[in-house]
Amino acid sequence: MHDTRGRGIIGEDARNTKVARMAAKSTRTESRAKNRQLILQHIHAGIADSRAALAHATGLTKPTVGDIVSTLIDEGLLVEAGRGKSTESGGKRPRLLEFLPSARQVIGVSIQRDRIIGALADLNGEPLVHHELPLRDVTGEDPLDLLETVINGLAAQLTSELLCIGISTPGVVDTSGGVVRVARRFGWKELPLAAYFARIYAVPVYVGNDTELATRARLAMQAAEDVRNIVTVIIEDRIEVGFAFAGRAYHHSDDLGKLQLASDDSHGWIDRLGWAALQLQATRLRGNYPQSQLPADWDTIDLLYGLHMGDALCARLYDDIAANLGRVFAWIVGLLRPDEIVLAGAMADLGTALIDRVEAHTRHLLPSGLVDNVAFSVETDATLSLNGALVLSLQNELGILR
Amino acid sequence: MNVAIVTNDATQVYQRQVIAGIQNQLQHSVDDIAIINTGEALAHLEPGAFDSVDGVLVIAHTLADDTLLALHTAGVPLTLISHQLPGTDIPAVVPDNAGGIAQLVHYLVNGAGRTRIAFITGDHNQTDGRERTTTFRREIMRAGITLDDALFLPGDFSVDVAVRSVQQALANGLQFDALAAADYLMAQAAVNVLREAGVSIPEDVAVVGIGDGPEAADAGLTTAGINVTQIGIHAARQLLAQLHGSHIRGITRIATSIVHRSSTPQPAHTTQ
Repeated sequence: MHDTRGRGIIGEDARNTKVARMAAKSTRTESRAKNRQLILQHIHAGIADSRAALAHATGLTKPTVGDIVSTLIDEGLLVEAGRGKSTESGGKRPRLLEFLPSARQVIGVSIQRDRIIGALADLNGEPLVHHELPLRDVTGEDPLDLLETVINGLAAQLTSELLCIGISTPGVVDTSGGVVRVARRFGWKELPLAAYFARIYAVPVYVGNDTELATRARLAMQAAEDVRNIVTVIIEDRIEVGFAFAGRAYHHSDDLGKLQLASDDSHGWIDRLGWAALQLQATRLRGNYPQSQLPADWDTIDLLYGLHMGDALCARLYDDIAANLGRVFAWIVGLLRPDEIVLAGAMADLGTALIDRVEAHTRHLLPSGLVDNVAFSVETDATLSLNGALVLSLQNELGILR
Repeated sequence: MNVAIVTNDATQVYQRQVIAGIQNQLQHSVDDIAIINTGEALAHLEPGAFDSVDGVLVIAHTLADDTLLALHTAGVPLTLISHQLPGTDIPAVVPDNAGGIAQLVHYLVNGAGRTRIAFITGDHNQTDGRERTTTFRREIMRAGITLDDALFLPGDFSVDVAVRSVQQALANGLQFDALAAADYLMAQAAVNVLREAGVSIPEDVAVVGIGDGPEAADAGLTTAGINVTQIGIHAARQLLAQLHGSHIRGITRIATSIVHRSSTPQPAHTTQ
């Protein structure tokens, strides 16, 4: 009989020891990566500008700070830029440290309704050049191939080393794993999108839902410091909601475009929220407004212009969409009490004239105390999700822009 | 590797600056850069004319669509500059026309309080020309200003045509308090016509144009500036990547930025 017990026990011990060593090493590696991000974050945000100030602000030991700063200088991410003032006790003047945004470049891409847009940016997330591929002429082609040609268009413009790539996509996305759980538009299911492009470009790739990324960008780049909870509602050929809580946790819905808002349309209300419902409502009401100048093939700008020019049909459509949006916003505000609620996507082109009406409807539906501290805004920047992809990648890779 | 730059007139200001950018970027990467002067727009060239080159850069609408398609179909690395071929995915480098026009309209309306803005159009056979007119129309609508077709003056990216249009508008008594042009050379010409007619700039009429150059600076013209040399540099990089096997589709857009000069009042508010 072949006795393996003793050998097995010894082998198990050895394995356990090895696993324990690997775990400790992994913990040390993770810890160093976190400390590195902490240091970059403090310098980038202007909280500390010297080794001593970093040690004081982060709570890390001076040797740890010195070691990581040296590595960051070697990598070109930090530079020493002169000396600061000596301390009150007359200590040595510290060497000042500066973050170098041109040290690497990042690529962000965003799949939109009618095009794929992308940007090559510096390490502050400032776009240096944009590239886009209209989707009208490429129906039926593999979206992965299309994404790749856009990334190639941006990679062609690199003037320093590529650090990482961020991708914004519609659908339900597991951001931490870089996996698209489901994106019905492309028939994607459990697609490891980040891994796919990481293999091609040999850099880290981060993937997020576009509405969630729009919220992330809004929070990171545009919101006031006291705005920590933001909800973004994107309305175009789909409806999605993105959330940012306490500036840390992010979440997103799936497409809510099929949700029915009213059980019947006996009062002439549109029963859904999206673009198609509004167009249907325009067709339904047109006979009541024979003087209307709204063209048959209208878009948001035509509607906005009609409102400016006093067109009664346009005014009615504004009121209808605002009433519906007001109901949805009232639920969101009532449930989540955000600091800011943002309307984005094609519907945002209807401008402040729409959001002012939505706010009035929301106020009418809720106790005033719930609404008083909520800012209502529109975001017409079509690159918001793209900026979010850049922010996501820089947050993950360097720990900055939080 | 050999590269060809195709232009209708290498002596023009715009083309000269683009070519300088391309040459600057490619001088150490390729063996030879040939400049093919067609002497005309929409030239028909046989693909055989490019047998000795590995890649082609085409400035504006210089080559006929069928020539471009033949090159593209033959797999010749190709980059279009300030032009796109609709219905194809031939890579291109273009100025951000929509962004530039939006900046100018925002500047005139919100910064200078102007509400009757005339627009000298470009050549509608060119992508740049069409895009700039379409965007101007939409931005006027977005701003809530009454659209008036009489305020659209033909320019065709030609100083002579622009001059005649502005002269005609003044003779017809057309009322406007601002004038934007689809390129800065037409805007500069309009400044001269208006001044000769005794119109005070910017008090009576504020004038702006898209694109920028020494002529705009000399004329004190406010512009949505485009670094044209940078367009050449970006185009050269795009072609170079293709020559190294990268598959690129779509359009690289170069951003514009407002250059304030004396043809407009000091803006009260321009946040865009």
